[in-house]
This record gives sequence, C-alpha cells and structure tokens, in this order.
Amino acid sequence: MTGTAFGPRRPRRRAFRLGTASVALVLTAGGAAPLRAQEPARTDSTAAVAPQPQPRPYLAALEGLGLNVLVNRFDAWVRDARDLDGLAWARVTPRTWSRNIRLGWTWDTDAFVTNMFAHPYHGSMYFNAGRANGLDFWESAPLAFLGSLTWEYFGEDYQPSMNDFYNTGFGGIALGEVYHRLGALVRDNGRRGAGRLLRELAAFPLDPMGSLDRLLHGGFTRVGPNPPDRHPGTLGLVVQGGGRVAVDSGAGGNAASSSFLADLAYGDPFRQPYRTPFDVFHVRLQVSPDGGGVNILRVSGRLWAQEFTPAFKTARHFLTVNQKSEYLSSPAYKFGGQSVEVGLVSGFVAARGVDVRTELYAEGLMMGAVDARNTGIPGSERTYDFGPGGGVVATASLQVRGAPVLFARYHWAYLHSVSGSSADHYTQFASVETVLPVTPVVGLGAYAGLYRRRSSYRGQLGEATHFPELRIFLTWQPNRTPSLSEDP
Amino acid sequence: MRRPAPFRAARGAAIVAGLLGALLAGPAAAQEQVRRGFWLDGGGGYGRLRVRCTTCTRVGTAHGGTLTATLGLSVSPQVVLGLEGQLWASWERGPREHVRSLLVVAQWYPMHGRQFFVRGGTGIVQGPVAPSGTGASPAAVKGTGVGLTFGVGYDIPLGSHVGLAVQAASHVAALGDLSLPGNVHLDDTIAYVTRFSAALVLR
Repeated sequence: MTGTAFGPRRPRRRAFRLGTASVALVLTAGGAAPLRAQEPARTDSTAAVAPQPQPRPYLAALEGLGLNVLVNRFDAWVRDARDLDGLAWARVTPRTWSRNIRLGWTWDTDAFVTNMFAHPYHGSMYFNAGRANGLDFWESAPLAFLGSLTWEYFGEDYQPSMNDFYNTGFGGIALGEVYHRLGALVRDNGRRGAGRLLRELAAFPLDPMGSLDRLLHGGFTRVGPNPPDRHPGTLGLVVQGGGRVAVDSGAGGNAASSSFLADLAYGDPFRQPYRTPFDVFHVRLQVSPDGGGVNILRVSGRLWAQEFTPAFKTARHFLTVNQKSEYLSSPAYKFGGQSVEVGLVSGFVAARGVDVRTELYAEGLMMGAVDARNTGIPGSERTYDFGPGGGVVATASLQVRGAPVLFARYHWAYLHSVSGSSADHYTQFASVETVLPVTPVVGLGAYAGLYRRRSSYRGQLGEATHFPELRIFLTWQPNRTPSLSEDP
Repeated sequence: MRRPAPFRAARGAAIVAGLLGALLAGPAAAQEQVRRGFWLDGGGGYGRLRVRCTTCTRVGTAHGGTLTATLGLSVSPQVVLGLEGQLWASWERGPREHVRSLLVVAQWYPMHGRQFFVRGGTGIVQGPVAPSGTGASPAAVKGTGVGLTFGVGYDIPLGSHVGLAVQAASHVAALGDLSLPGNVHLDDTIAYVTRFSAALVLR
C-alpha cells in the first residue's frame, strides 16, 4: 500500500507498529542487533516514493540462467557433489543435455525436504530476478519456470523431473513474491550507516537476487525514496514459543519437543481493495528443533479479490483467489503441495472491537505430496507419492481488538498418485487454537490438532491412520491487525 | 525413402501455416493489437504422441490431429491467463488413443510491441494410450493424471480484435501407474503430445 494508505489520522502509531514489525522481521531474518538504537535520523527523501524502475526482462532472464551456471559449477568444481550411487550429477556435458531432451520427463527420488522445501526457495530466486529488474508479478512468473526448465534439462545429469518443475515454479512464485515484499519491508532506502547496512544484510537471505541487483546497480548504499508498495498498510505478527507433544510414527509413542511458531499477516483483506497479487498474504512458520526441524511453512497470498458487500456493512464478503504453497513435515507425517484456492473471505462485527472472520475455499492441488506406509520409491529417499488433487479449506477466528483469541481450521484434501504407489490418498487436518491475553502483547495459548489419512491402493488393502498434536505456548504479538469496527 | 502419411501431412500443414503467415504478416503489421480484457481462441493441427513408462522397453508413438480452445483474460499488457481445453486423437489404425486435457495456461509476450509469445500451463489430463514394449498385446489403457504444456507461437493480427496464432507446443501427461489386460502393470506412464497448430484468436 502507498504512504497515503496509512492515513493521516494516526501516522505515529502506525509507523511504530510497522517499525516494530520490520525490526522483528530483521531479527527473524538475520539475527541483527538492536537496529533502532544505532540508526541515525532518516532523510527527508523517504517521504517520496521511488519511481518504478524500467523493466529489464532480458537481464532478469540472464540472471536466472547465470544463477543456474553458478550453482552447477559450484556443485561440480567446488563440492564435487555426488548422489548416493556416487554419480557426479553436476558434471553435465552436451551429451547429457541431448539425452535429457531426448528422454524427457520423469520423477525424482529426492527427500521430502529437498523437493518440497528447498526447491520452492530456489524458485523464489528466479522469480525475484524478475521482480528486482522491474517486472511485475505476472511478468516475473514465467522466469520461475524458465529457470527451473533450464536447470532440469541442463543443470543436472538426471532426466528432468516433473515434481521439481512444479515445486520450483509454482512454489518459487509464491515464496518469491512473499520474500520480495518482506525484503522491501526490511530494507529502507532512507537510512544511512550501520543501520542501513544491517537491514540490507538482513534482507539478503529473504531475497538474495534482489540484494545482488541492488549491489550491482548501487541500490545497496544509495539514499533515496522507497518503492511505492513497500508498506502493506497493516501488518500482524504473532510469535509463539512453547512445548509440543505429538505422535511419532517411528516409535509409535508420544514425542515431546520445544516448538516455535511465527504467524505473519501482511495486509488486511477488509481494509485494502485488491490491487496487485499478494498485496495480502499470510505466512505460518513452525519450527521444532528436536521434533523434525521445520514442521510447517504455509504461504498463501491472494491473486485476486472482489468485494460484493458495501464496505460499511457489519458483515462483509469477498470472492477471493489465492495461491498457496504448503510444507508440513513432522516425524509422524508429511504433506505438501502447490495449489490455488477459490472461495469466500468473510468478516462479521460481533461487537465493537470484536470480529469473527471466516474463510471457505475450494482448493485445486496442482502438485501434492503425501507419505503413507506403502508410498514412495523403495530403496530411495522418496518415502512419499506425488500427484494432483483437490480439497476444501475452512477457517474461523474470533479476534478481540485485533488479537486472535480463538482460531479453528479444517483442511480436507484428496491426492491421486501419479508417481510412487498406485494410490488415492484422503487427508484431513483439524485444529483449534486459543490464546488468553495476559498483557496487550503477551498471551498464553494452547493448540490441539489432528491429522487423519486414509489411503486406498490398487490391488492392495487400504490403510488409515491418525496423528494428534498438542502445543502449549506463550505468545508475543508486537503488531496486530486492526479490528473491523476500527476506523479505516 | 517415402515418408509416412502423417509426416507429409505435418509438413504440408507447416508450409501452409508459413505461407499464410508470410501473406498476412505484411498488411497485418499495421494493425494495432489490443491485449486487454477477454480473449478466445480455437483451432487445430497435427500432433505426435509418444508414450513412455519406467517398465516399458520401447517408446510407443502415434500420429493424429489436435483441437484446442482457450478462454482467457489479460492480466497485464504482456501476460494473458486462460483455460485451455485440448484433444488429441490418433488417426492411425490400432488401439483407439486419445489424450484430453483441461489446463490453466499463461501466455507471455516477452518482447514489448512484438507478437511472439511463450505459452505454458498445467491441469488435468486423461486418456486411453497404448504403451509399447510391455510384453502384452497392444491395447489402449485409460489413465488420469496431471499435465503440463509449453509452447511458443506468433500472433498474426488480422484486425484490432481478430488474429491468427501459429503455435508449436509440447504437452506432457503424467498418467501414473496403469494396468493392461493380462495383469501387466506399467509404472509412471508419461505421454507426450508434440503439437503444431493454428488458431483463430478473438480479443
């Protein structure tokens, strides 16, 4: 949202909120020290907004291809990377390229974390080569696929892999736009000195291509106006830390671990009419250091929305199309995919400062992955199936003065396996989460969730299983989304 | 060596498309194309099918015709999104093979002011295909899966809202594991349709 979208009414309060969130993002991204204390005063130039740079599509494509060459040569010459069979997969030649083109597509045997977590991040770099060079969302999207396509055919000794193409392409677009926007939020062209440098460095892991481009074109140190879409208007951030008890599929018993979660709501669908893709998005990241590492990375951003109720009504409804990238991994189960959701986002004012927000989507799963007892490819790291599918997502939350005190979510998904076992998988996730506010920014919360899966195999007996999960945590909410009844 | 009929047909189609393009490109260059709002195209052409699976010892091939129709919307001056339906059907003797797809596609015009485009998309595919080298007698077996399409093409403007698009595209249909009569299982079957087509575009 532009600077005017913050409104003249409460500029100091909003600025503080966004500043706090930016610092939280910087801390999350790069572990930077207390930034605000070190920073000199901002220059007046930040009051203006930077003009949109001239689009450089060829340079963007070249940067994506350059990234492939760099990664490939690093793997070949520096790492001498080899797979489990000892094959130096990065040592490609025109002969391997010709073979890859001739033989065509296949499915790879990589681990879940590689395919469903690392590849979308890699794809985000191709996408952000476009965003950093002045292309918009839609113009940058083909670059994620171009980067993936060229890597699959020419970057590895293996045949091109369909699952990589989907996860790098679609996942790269979703994560790329999120990282591009968060990178812009962390960076501040109006600052100077150590604070500026720390912000630039903190944005690097989020948006390496953007940082590289700034380094090449002088934006890393140049003081001037910020991009017009730097601020989302509203930014809600909730951080949770506590303990988690879940069923471990290996031992069949309960496994307890520490668990940390960050929920980021960028933009507010009830305050911002749709302008550009991902002007509103939501990110949930859950990490359990001794319980599977990253358990959840779910990114969902709106591609398009249209309100069909007057903005002043106490019940408002939006027809919304979202793009989603999802990664769920725990010792008990794995599920992930790239999908598009179409549905209804609604908000109801229950009382002043008290809202009920609901979402109901039909989901098209372009490429999903799920593990089960008989899935995957025996003798490899692939313990899961790939395939398209569909689903339904429903959420409801009760918010008091912008703080979510009760949140319920249900997700049903169907996946038809086209690689791995001959199976159809039906999964359900149901969860309830509640937070009791202790102070305006600190609360005490609990989460109860249940994952159920039923799989039917061709020519074999089907199976069903379920995994419950409990969490108790403290929450810290430095930023909140304004309630629906607050002044726009 | 005399080429089989499908190759002659493909070559003929390519020559006709080329001549048509050369004839129309000159006067059409002056036409200003509008890339805004809705967009509709429909056309047909030639397509070659190849079927592979991890347990097949040979690649099955067949020649046929394709029909495509797309309804879309411009989301930027350089990008249009659409829903594409495609049907490929074999014109050869033997098992009846079809590949049908319903795909969400994006068409990107990377060069400002030029009519060259790149098209890509994904969606649902279905088809009875007849893999070769399976050890079983030839038969078409139905599968449903996920599909990809990539292609390049050129818009030849015929008017401010009408054009002709010539296109070369590859469709990848991942149909998964299939079972042939006689309890023969085929793992990870993937069918490829390479298509050369022309379509009338309304926008």
